Amino acid sequence: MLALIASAQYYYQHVTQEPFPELGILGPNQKIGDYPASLLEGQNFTLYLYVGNHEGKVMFFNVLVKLGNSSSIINNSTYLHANPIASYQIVLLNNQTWLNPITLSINETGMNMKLVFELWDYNTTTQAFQYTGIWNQLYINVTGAA
Amino acid sequence: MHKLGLLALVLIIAISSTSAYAQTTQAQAQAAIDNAFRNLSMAEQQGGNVTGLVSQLNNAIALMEQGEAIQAVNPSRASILYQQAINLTEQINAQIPQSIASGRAASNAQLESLIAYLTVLGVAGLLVYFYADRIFWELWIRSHKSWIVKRADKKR
Repeated sequence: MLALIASAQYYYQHVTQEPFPELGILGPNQKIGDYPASLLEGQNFTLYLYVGNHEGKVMFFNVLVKLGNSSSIINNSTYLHANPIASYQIVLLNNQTWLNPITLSINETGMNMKLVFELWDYNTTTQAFQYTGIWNQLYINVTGAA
Repeated sequence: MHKLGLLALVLIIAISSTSAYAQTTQAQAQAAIDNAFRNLSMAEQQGGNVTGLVSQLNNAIALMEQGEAIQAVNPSRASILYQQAINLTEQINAQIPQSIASGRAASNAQLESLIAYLTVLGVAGLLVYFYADRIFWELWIRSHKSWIVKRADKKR
């Protein structure tokens, strides 16, 4: 019986039950909140990017930052069809997390603009990054600099 | 005048080739990082310990991103950073076989210790199963050998 339990424990310690990655955007105080809502065109602002790897193996992530408007479509199967304004790559071991400050600025004006963060991961078979279906967004008003 | 024109042409070609070279090495740096990750991923699948290599690969990514940040204003410096990133990925690739070998050795040692543990556990189980009652009563008799058995109804 003890041998059976020991064998099962040895087996299951190498198995990840539900693999998943994490993506989080934190405000300038490293908390969920205090996100910038109104900005001037070209104004620098800081956010914190959080990425976690619980895929059961080493992963190569790429976070793409894109800009859209209120009618832009993005969901867990469709990424935003826009050019990235920034990208952040990171390789993480299993169960490793990464919190990194990022400084961005938006060089166009608009109301209810979507600042979209998409998580992509590197597929070693296709040798290309693929959309994981995980994304976040912030609504921002950007007005012209005086 | 003709010499001046020639000089301008040479200068334009030199500037454009420098720019193209920097652009190419950015792509080369990304390709080298992608390739190093594929090797690293394979090493992990084969039981290699890739913790240190992941840290080095993130350093290579940081160098490439620094290069991208200054690409527009200082392409020659960006090119140097891209090359440093590529050099780092080459160091990572060179360490992959050693990582796999040490990972396999560690994995084998872990498996061997598990087998030894299970063997000891199994042998102990068999010994208990076959000899436990005999040993128990032997010890019981030894520890109670000074006991004197009396009839409870002797006084009656």
